[in-house]
Amino acid sequence: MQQALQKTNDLLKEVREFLDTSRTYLDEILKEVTAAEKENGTRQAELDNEIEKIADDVDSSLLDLAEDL
Amino acid sequence: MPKEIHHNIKPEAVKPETTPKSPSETAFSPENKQRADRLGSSAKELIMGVFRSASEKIQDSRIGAKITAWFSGKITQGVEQKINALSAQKSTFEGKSAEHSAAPGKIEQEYADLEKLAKERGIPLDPNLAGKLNQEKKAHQQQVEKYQSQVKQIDEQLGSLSEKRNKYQEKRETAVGKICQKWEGKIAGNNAEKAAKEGALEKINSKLEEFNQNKGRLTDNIAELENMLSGISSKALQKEVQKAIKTQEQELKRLEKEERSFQKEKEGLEKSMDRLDRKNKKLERHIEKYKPKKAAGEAEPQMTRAGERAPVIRRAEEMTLQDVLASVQASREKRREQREGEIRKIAQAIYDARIVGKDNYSEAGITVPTSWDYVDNVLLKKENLTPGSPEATEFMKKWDWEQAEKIYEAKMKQEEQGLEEDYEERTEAGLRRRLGEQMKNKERFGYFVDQWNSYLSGKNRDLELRNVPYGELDQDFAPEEALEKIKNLLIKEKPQEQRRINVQAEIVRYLFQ
Repeated sequence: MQQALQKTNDLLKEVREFLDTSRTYLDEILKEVTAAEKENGTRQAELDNEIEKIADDVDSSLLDLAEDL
Repeated sequence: MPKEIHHNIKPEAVKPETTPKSPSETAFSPENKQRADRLGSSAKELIMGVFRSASEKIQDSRIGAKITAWFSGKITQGVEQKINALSAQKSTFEGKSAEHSAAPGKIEQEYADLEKLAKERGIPLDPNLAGKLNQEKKAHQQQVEKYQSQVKQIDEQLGSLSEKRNKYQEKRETAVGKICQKWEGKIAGNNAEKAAKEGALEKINSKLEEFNQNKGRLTDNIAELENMLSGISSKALQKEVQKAIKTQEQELKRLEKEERSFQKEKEGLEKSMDRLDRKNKKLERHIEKYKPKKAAGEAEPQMTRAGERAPVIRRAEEMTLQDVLASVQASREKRREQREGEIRKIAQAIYDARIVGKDNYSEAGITVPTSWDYVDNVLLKKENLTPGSPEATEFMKKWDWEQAEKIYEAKMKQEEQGLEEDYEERTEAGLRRRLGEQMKNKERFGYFVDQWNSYLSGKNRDLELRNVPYGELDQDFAPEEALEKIKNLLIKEKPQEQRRINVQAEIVRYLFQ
């Protein structure tokens, strides 16, 4: 029985260590995800701005042309 | 209340301290906090989702609508009409110039003939006649100069208009090519984010496996101790073992709780990856739809840099009016051929059904009877034709074609309707409807969604939406600023809802704290 209790204690110790590290591990994973999301978010916003600029540029050409008609 | 007054509402005017409230509506009241807590992180995700989805859809639909407008050709059509009118005028002036150029020669010839005749018959000619004729010739020469000058002016105008048209055509095609490249960039960005999430998902899955293993080990150990318990007679030892079981059960609960956190993040990642896939599919559809198409026989677009394709741009300078007309003609011819090809296929299918005596042939909601009984006893009988005769065969061939034409027209109509529906999907009305549908089941946010939808219907929504910092929503979401702006925009449209919006805004603000 003593052996069984010792085994239990070892198991508990192991599980507690696992639990203690799992939270940090999850935070680390989420940090990476957050960084990837942030990087892509910035990229998407930049690309949207560039698209807007291109579109505005053509719009102004169109207006110039319309005025010349 | 007149609308002008609503637009003058300053942000300060809607802040809680200047707005009388009932206790339940006070900013950060316990009740609001409770409500916010009940809504939890799913509310945060949902609200951010609404912002992101709305902004992306508006951006894409606006750019799509712009590209469609650029290619609708109304402006260039106007230029073409003007070019055509000027060309016709030029041709008239050239004709007149040629007439006047030829006139002096004719006059000289007539005068020579007259002089010869007068000499033969001994009739004296008017001594002033030669002078008068010279004046006439001079007048013709002046006309020639006048028309040639007008032709020159028209040439200059034509040159300028063609240049403008070509520049515009080139510019818009270049722009669409560039926009498509940016869309491709967006796809690549989403793929990079997805790859990072896939990596995270893999790690989470592996950790979830470890959770399972640990849970299994604890459960097995608990079972083992429980078995041992029945064989222990000492109360003290029994108590010791029971204590060990209880501790393990507590750890098991902790494991399960922590596992749920991993599970929740896993679900979030999977949803987010699905969203990225949907976004990419939408962008791919945009690229497919708008990317300048490769002209027949033209080489594949060359790769400029890794992963970047040079847009295929037809050299507009080389295009003449004849080129444009030839292209229109070719396109009409192609459409006619396509139409006939499609009809031929359907006519063949009807023939195949008829020849084996099938009851009918159905397509595009139209059912054509094809049984032998119908053909022989109704169709041919009506025409007084003998089944199997060459006349009957010829008649049936025409009949097959006519039925096929009807089916083809019905198919085209259905496709047009589909296109209209697709267009409707891309309009603001479509966006509002979809947002409405998306949120239908989220009744607790119903009010917020209504307000958001009514905001989307606002006249200056595009401009004002750009001022909302949703670009930062993903991570560094600035709720104060965003909420203040959104709230003010909403209030402009529905001033009577001011207090309710405030409560809603407080909940959102609390959630983002």
